[in-house]
Formats: sequence, structure tokens, C-alpha cells
Amino acid sequence: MRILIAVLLGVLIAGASSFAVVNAANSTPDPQVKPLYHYGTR
Amino acid sequence: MLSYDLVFVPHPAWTGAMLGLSGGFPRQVPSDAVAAALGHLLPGDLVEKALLLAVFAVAAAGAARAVPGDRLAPKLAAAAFYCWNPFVAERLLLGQWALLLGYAGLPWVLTARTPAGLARALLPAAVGGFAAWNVSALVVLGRFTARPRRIAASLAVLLGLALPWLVPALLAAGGGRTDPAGVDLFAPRADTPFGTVGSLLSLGGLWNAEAVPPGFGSWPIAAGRLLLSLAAIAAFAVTLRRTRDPLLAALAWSAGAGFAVACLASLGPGRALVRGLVGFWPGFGVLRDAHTFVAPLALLQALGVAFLVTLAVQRALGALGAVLVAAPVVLLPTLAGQLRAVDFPADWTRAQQMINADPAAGYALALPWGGYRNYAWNHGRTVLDPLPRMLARRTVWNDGLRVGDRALAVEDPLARDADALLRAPGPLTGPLAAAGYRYVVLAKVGDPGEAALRARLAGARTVLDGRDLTVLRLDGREPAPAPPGVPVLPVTTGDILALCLVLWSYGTYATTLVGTPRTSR
Repeated sequence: MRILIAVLLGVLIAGASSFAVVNAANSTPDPQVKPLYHYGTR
Repeated sequence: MLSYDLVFVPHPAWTGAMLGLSGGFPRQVPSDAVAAALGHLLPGDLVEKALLLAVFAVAAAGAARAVPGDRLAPKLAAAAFYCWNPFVAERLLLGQWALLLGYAGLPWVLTARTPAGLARALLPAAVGGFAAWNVSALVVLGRFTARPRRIAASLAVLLGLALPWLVPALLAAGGGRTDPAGVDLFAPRADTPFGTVGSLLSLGGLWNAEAVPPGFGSWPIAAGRLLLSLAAIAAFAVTLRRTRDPLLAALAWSAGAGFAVACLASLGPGRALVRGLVGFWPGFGVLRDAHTFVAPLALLQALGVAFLVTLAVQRALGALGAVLVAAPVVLLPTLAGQLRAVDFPADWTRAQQMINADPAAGYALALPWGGYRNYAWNHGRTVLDPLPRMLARRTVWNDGLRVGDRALAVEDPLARDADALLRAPGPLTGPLAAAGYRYVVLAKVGDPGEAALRARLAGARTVLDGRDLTVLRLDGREPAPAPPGVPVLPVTTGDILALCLVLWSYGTYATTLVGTPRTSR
């Protein structure tokens, strides 16, 4: 049982960390939302 | 080119708003009327290019002419500096060609010798209207310290040329208003590392961070600019002290007063004072965009650079003189390429033709409810909604300016009513028809709320639905009520008097463009 839990935790941790690494490597900034109707910005 | 307030359209329509008859504050009077009149003689894009070219030609010639002596190098230096500096760059990016017309006329105003000559020199400011007139008035008042004679005649000329916008402004005072919050939004701001005062001394400091030339705020460029400005002011002061030239003294007074007003509006207590003044009487709204009053300082610095070049030439330092002539361009290289020409999409011109061909009365409503737009076809550059300049009928648009996340109160009485309708929930078709609207023009700018807005206009007949624009007609509307506005007779009388003043000034000295050469002091 403990081995099964360890395997599951390992899969979860490996999945989460690989997702985080891929996102960190290919991160793109959120597109800047330019206000539609404004005259300018101070 | 369409950029902020720089709006020239194909086949501009004649409207009462161009003469200040619509009731809001007449900031665009009479510049829009002149642009529309020229637009009937030439294509709109050519009119725009000609007016912008005139700004640079008049400014350069005036600055060169204001430099005493016959040496070419100092005159070139003054012309280059006066045409190519942060004040011009930022106001140009903000599209304020009408203000720049007044700026271009400042050297001519300074050196005009007679009331008729002053009237001719003030012609660019008279065309530019409110803001252009304000900075020119500062120089005219400064002239009184140099030429105390003919004060009454000069004041008469100054006021006479203001009549086209002054009369509607005074008559609309009951219905018009100026939001005191605008003092905070349009106060000068630091756009260099040297703070607001340092930026103003460098002739920058415009309120809008989006209208700053790229790279202007970087340390090397900003430091070079500030050094050039300080050196020019020092050279001007030394020359003034040495020559006691009354015209230079007059310019020093105007530039000092203008700089003080700009600094006052940028500092906390001073800004509170201006806000209180605007709240007390809307006429003090003249102080709202205080950065405009830095314009005479630009002329002072241009003459100062010319004096530096004179000194360099006298001491056989020709290379230094050449550097000073080129310095304005070297220190502000990124202005070129900021403005690009665009064509109006076919939807816009089709809508214009369709609506203007309709003889039925009724207002047009410009939606979405925001005065400035970022159209994809304009490369995303912000521009004032062109529609009111294209349609012959009264076009209601949101003149409550938004800066950042703050919005000013709507000024136009009809726009205030429309604002209330749009803020209320529920269908718009019936209430708009009852208020006298015939058309609703819905520009597609990528607003997520467009579909919801369109849904509120259910029942309106779609007469054009293109990629860039939807035009809806409200059939079965009520007869349009008489729009609030100002009486026609006093406004047109003011226009005619101003026109007569211009004709008189040119009739008096028909052979010269503006004033006589400055041969002696």
C-alpha cells in the first residue's frame, strides 16, 4: 500500500514539476490590455 | 495620419460644432472650420500635410527672422531648435496641430511692429483657436513690457481674433462646464529623470506618457537635452544683460510667466489652487493643460542657441557651431517615423455617403461610448473619433475624456443626456428615437461589450454592417427637438468681425506676409 501511495505521489510530483518547468521555459507574458477609449496615460 | 487630436477626414462636412454652435466648450473652433473649408478645395490628406508643413515653415522662418543680424548659422540654429524640440514632438504626437499653429506664430508675434502687423502675426493663432491663442496672448502681454504704446490697439487685435471661439464659449457658459479633475489629469509630468521641473526646462513634461518620443527619457538623451536648454537660457540671459534689448526682455517675461504657470500646475499646492479656480469659474479651464504655456520658453531657448552659435563663430569655433545647429536633431532622433499615413476603410466612407445623403432630420450617435479609439486599421494608434467631422448632421459623441482609469465629466449637453441613457439598463432603441436620434453608428474596435450594446439596439434597422462599422437607422422616431446650443447671430457676428480684422491687416500692408523685417532694435 505504501509503495502504491509513493508511486502515485511520485507521478503527481513528476507531472506537476514537468508542467512547471515547461511553462517556465516557454513562458510568454500575458498580453497587455490596452484601454480602448482613453485619451492617454499619465 | 490619424493620431489623437490629429483628425482629417475625406470630404469633411460643415457642421455647427465647427463654429461653436453646439454648446460644448469650443476647443476646435475655428480650426475645424478652416480644415473643412480647405477640405472642399483639396483632398483631406493633402490639407493635413499642407497644414503640418505650414507649422514647420512658419516656425522656422519666424525663429530665424527673430535672430538679430545677418549671419546664416545662428539663424539656422534657431530655426532647427524651434522646429525640432520635445515640445513640438510631444504636441505633434498628440495631434495638436492647431496649438502648433499658434506656436509657429510666436516669433512673428514677438517681432510685429504695428497693430496691423500683430494681427497678421496672430493669424496662425486665430486659426488654431483657444489653446493657440492662449500661448500667443502670453507673448502679446510680454510685449507690453517692451512697447508700452498701442496697448489698447494690441489688446483690441488680440480680443478681436479670439471672437470666433470666445463668443460661443461665453454664450455656452451656462450649459458648458469644465471638470476641475482635469487639472490633475492634464498637469505636467516628469518624462525625464530630472523631475517635472527638469522636464519642463527641457521643453518636455507633457501630461500624456503615450506621446513621448521613444528614448527621450533615457539618461544620455535627457541629460544632453537639459544641458542644451540650460546653456541656451544662460546665453540668452547674458545677451539680454549685454544688449538690454526690449524684445528679448519681453520674451524673457513671457517665457518666465509661462514656465511659472506650468510649474504651478505641477506642484501640489499650486495644482489645488488651479483646481479651485476652475471649480469657481470654468473660464479658468485655460490653465488646465498648463504645459502649453512652456511654448515661449522654447522660443527663448531657440534664440539662446542662436547666440551660442554666434559666439562660436566669432571665436572661430566653427565645428562647435555646426554641432549646435545639429544638436536638436541629434538629441531627439526618434520623432521621425512615429506618424504613418492610413486610408479610411471603405465602410467609413460608405457610411458617410449614406448618412449624408439622407434628407431626414435627426441626430447621429457615435458608439461605443468613448471619444478616443484604437482602430486596428490605424495601426492601433489612439485617435479621436472621426465620425463627427464626417457627418453633416449633429453627431453626439462622448467628450468626457478618459486618462488612465479616470474619466472627466461629459461637457456637451446632448452628450450628457446620451450618457444617462446609456448608463441606464434596458433597450436603447425607443429612448434614442424619442430623443431625436436618426442614426446609431457602432464602430468595431474589439470591445467585448459590442454584442451587448447591439442587443440593446434591437428593432433598429441595420443599413450597413461591414467589417469596421455598423450603421443602424431608427425609423419611426419622434421629430428631432431643437438641439441645445448657442444663438447663431452673435457667433456669426464674431466670426465676421474677426475676418474683417484679418482682411484689414492684410489690406494695410498688402505686400508683406507678416510684419516688416526686423532691421533695428
